[in-house]
Amino acid sequence: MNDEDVIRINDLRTYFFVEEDVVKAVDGVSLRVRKGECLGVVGESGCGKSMTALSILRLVPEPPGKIVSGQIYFRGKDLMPLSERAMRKIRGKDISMIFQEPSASMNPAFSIGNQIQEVIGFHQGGGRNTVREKALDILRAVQIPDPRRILSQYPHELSGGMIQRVMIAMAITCVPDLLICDEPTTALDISTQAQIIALLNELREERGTSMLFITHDLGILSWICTSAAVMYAGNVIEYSDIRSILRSPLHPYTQALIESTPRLDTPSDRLKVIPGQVPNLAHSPPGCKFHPRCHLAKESCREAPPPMTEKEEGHWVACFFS
Amino acid sequence: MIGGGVAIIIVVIAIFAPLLSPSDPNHVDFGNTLSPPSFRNPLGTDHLGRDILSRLIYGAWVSLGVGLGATAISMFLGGLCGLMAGYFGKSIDVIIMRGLDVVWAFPPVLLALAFVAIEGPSFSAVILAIGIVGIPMFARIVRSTVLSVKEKDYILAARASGISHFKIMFTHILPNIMAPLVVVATFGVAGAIMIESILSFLGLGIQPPASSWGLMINEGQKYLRTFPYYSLFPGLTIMITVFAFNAFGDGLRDAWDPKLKT
Repeated sequence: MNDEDVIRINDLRTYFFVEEDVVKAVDGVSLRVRKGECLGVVGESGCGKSMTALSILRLVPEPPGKIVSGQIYFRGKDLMPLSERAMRKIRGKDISMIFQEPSASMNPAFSIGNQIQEVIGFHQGGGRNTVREKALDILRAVQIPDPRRILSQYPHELSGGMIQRVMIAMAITCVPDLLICDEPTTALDISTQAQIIALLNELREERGTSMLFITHDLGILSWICTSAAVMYAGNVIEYSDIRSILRSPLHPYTQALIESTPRLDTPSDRLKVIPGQVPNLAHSPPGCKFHPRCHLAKESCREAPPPMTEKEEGHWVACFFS
Repeated sequence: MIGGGVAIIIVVIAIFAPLLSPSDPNHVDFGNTLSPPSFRNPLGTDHLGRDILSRLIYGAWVSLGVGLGATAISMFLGGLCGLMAGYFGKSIDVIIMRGLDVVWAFPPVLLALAFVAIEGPSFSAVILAIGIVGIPMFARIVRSTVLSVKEKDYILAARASGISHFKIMFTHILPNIMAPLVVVATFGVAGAIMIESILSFLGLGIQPPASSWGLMINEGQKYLRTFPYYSLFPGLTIMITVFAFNAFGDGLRDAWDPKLKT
């Protein structure tokens, strides 16, 4: 246990019980985010990235989902035994989250001001005017022009980028220790993406907020994250600082993922693809889950899942042959 | 929107009944019984010589009072049940909805009759009975709307900000389901007026000498062959009112549902 860890996830398993099947969305994930660090979580759609994030806040849709086992230590304290009431005090205050689809993340029936002030009022209290002042301050902090006008506007009147700024503002009002970003830029166009990433970077540097950044875009990963965890079929298969993940990936899946990213500097006719499909998480292959798609796979890969081992200083990987 | 206009006119008539009615609805005049429409009595008089138009106007107050009162009860209780069932799901959903299915299984008039028979016929008993009968309809509509609204990202986002279930239900979900709720309420008013008329017609609703449209049809029944006006005008009034509220509801639904606008 390390003091500088803001969050440490230990062997988390979140399963979905659908009819006869058990879909193992998160199947033994261990992660840590250090203070002031931005950990990127990468992987294909459906590899359990978002479910890991929702498990931290205990917002997994239940039923059919259920956190089956594991520990989540937040500032050294295990969150799992906490009651719903205690979790509510943590959500939005100590750990906040921003979501993928900004315009869907705000209630269409209320003005922006109403929604920001609700969160500030709930966690910090204070009179009407103080709450309003705080809301204006936080909107200025995320570089929203004319915050007074924005307060009285409704979500449909703002652009996606603007709403994402508002969402970030709402998420950081209480100065959380951990900010979980679930693909915050996926629904935005490329120039807005850049602005939002720059804003998040600034916030991290100025306020020292640790982040868990979920994405499937390796470009964004290199831009904002200081370290990265690669997930495949509910497992973390490689973990390291961002440099060594991108420069010298060890796991064949990470290598393939990076190779399949189109590059402008090296012209090629075809994009590289990873053969095969993401396994069905209800019936995932035995042993290493990546073996049916892996060019290194041998007989031993079918028998037992490879353990996470530290191949280089601070660079962990779950593969027998890397 | 003509329906809305007519509905509003009826509400206004009900509110200003004492000013609008040409004569005292309870004034008995034995020298002038069962007289056909005339200048003095525009819609004729009943078997006690009372002015039918005045009695209809005063009856509007009763009918609308029952219609709105009963709908308010069913909307409040049904809305609450539907909100809880839809939001919490699981066993709470099963308990509430199966319980309401029992109420739903009875024909509404029969159930209302049973309630009034137990409580004894009175204005408040009629409102309560009709109100209870309407609960399952509201609960079902609210539940199904809540089911779709609670999956929205903004509800998850609100949960991620630490807002409690109770607050999410009432301040985040409720405003988003008001549109269908109001539409159903207008249909509810129309239905409640119908049931009130039926109860009064059967003698278990509003008691004489108060006037109610259903009661007037009942009283006019005896004179149907010789003096049809007695039952005809209240019948027409009920028809127009129910139609107006239904048309109003249709109009609201069309205006609020963008999918129907083509």
